[in-house]
Amino acid sequence: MTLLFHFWEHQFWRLRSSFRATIVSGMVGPLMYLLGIGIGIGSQVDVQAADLGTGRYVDYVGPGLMAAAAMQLGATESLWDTAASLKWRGNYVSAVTTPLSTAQLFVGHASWIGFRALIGGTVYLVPLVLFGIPERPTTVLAPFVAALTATAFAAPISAWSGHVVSKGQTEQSFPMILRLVILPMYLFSGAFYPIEQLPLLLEWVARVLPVWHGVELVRGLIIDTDLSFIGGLTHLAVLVAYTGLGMLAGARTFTKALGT
Amino acid sequence: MEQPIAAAGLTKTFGDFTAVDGIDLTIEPGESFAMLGPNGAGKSSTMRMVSTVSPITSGSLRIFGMDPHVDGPAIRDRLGVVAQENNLDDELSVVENIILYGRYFGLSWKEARAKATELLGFAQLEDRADARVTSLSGGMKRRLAIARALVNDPDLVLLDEPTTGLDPQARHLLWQRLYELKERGVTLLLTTHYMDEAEQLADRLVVMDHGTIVAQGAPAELIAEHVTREVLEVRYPPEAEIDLESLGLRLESLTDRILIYTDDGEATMTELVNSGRTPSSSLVRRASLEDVFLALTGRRLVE
Amino acid sequence: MIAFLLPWRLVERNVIFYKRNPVVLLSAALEPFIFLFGLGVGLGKIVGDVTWAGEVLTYPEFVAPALVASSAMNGALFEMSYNFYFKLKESGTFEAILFTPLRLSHIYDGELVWAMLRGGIYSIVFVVALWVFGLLASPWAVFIPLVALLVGLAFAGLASWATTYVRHWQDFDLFFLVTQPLFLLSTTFFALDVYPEWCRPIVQATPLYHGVDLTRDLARGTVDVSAFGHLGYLLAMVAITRVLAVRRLAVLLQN
Repeated sequence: MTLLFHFWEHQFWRLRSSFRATIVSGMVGPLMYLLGIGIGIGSQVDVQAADLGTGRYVDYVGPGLMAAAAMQLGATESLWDTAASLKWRGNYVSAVTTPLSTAQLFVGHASWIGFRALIGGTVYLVPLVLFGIPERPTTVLAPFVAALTATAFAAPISAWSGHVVSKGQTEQSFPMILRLVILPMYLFSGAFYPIEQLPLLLEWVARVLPVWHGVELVRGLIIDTDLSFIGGLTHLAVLVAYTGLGMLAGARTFTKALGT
Repeated sequence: MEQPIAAAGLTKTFGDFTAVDGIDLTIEPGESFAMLGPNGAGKSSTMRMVSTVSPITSGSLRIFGMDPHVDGPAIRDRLGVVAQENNLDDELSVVENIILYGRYFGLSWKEARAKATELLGFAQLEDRADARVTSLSGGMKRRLAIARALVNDPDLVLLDEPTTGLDPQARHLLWQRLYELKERGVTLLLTTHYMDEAEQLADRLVVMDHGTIVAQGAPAELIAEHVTREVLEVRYPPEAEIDLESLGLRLESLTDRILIYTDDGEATMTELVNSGRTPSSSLVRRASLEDVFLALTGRRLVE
Repeated sequence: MIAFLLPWRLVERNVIFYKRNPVVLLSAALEPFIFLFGLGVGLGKIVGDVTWAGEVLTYPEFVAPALVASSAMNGALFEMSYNFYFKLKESGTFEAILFTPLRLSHIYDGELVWAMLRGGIYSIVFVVALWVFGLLASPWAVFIPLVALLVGLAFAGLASWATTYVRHWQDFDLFFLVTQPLFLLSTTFFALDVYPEWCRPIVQATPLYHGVDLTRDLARGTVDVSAFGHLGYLLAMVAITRVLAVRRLAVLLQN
């Protein structure tokens, strides 16, 4: 545990200059989405007919965006930046020459991304409150679910990056992952409209993938929805399962990538 | 052929910092010329000005009689440049790196392909033609960079620290290739902070320090002029207080050893032993350009 | 050598690279379809119809032509940011080319021509698909790819200029912080009259608005003299960013 702490500390110092940027983009980016989609598109939405179960469209989309943004962070941080750490930047190469094992390194890596999503989610509470969205005291728990949503993506995708590095492949699969996997997941996440609007097959794909679970759980914590306690636990279990499986895979691919 | 390089009072400043401080330099066709000096001596800045990518601050510079500011493209058409940092195209294969570089020089596809085949032979990379650049060793990458720089049959080849970071074996292989170029009559200008590299490759060299030229000539001339034929290196235990000054010898004290410049190392050693100054270890060797640099600046080339 | 053809040497390099990696190009071509389906169709079910220029449009009809312009912007931003930064500061690719008879402006133009070739093909594919889906109503729509090309050029110029100021990869967070609102707020997803009165001139001053408004006019056949204003704005942006970007490149590479 102390080792993990040292790893985090190191990461923090390495990235402290960009932390300001992370906080600014964690605040301003979602604010833009709230304005553009929540208010802009929301003005066109017939909330009653759409059966969203909320008073305004922005109440629906606002909480969902916290989880969707966490997914994006988890995915993007796991691609080039992770490969760079494993390869030319060399900070992970040198990390495993310390008593830190590759499994611990991977846990540190993924949880660090989760931590950043936690910060991002917490910062995002400010615009949510400004828009008068939160209805439940459990809102304060939502950033933790956002963090878990981030790791549910960061762990498996970082594992993939480890695989790419270990095979000496180029990063050409990375933009494809962003465009063909993450972007559709983002749009079909249930953040913007209920996934019941999708064709049946896509709806079930969305149910199997982690982001919808993050979106539903975050929304259920922030506003009054018909989410049950059991339903909430199920969402949580799915996110934990993706994170755990990703960590198992990542420990292996990082070991291969770092040649230890 | 016109003089490949003629510089007078060549100066380069970056803000308050003077990187090159009014140097005079001429290089004749077919000559192999080295700029020797530690990091920050102004070698790379000079190289960048000669390669026309860095405008001169003052003084004059003519490459093949042309003004780099006006005739950049025409000059570069006759130059081959091997930069210090590896700038090969990692996304392409070995042979593609040469072919596409040839295209930038206006070669037709056919010419570029033929040239690439020939140069892969020269660089001893035939069997790696289709490999990705990232899979090459440091020495192979440097040979590829040199091969690529030859794609336009340059009259003048610039090499900025060609062997820095390579292991001894890779260095020797590279020197062989450069020696072959020299034999073909290509004019070479190289920078280095390795004295053995300058001794191996250069007909003539300048020693640079703090942006100025502190000495110039052929390697053997410089040694003869500034230091003695041999150097005796001696070490004493740290606590020993040995007075060598009174012997009237020419000395250079380094942190871990003392250099004694002498024409006969063995005789000087005998003198030390006879006067009760027997060192804990000793070595007699031929004087090198490293000693020249030390004698001129009081510092070593590679710290 | 004809000077005009020199930038093509850089295009050749990219053609050779992507011939081996066609999936990267393919995935980028699919991007607008994902947006069309994910937002246009999905949101369309809860948004309903939109009135635009006196005509009642389905939501996909409203969004689709604007997505051509938005995608051209996104594609140009992507190509001329990460890739450009890599060649400029990490791999030394531009430095190496400067040792050949090519000049800085050739490098810049070559990269731009390549980005536009890519973007142009994507727009044509997308526009043809939109026509097949029945989302375009006017023959004017054949000019949409040209407008997309112009939008792409304008944003490629802006992106490359901005990229010259990037110090490390993290700076791109800020970069996309500026460009993402353009995508979301420049009337691609909802009409200008959604904004309060005072806000409309601000939106109209942003570059993507001009591309979006023009492509929508072309798709619906409602083109009028405002088209010249849109074209003038975008052309000016192309010209100004080129001067700025080449000047900055010289500062970085020819110092």
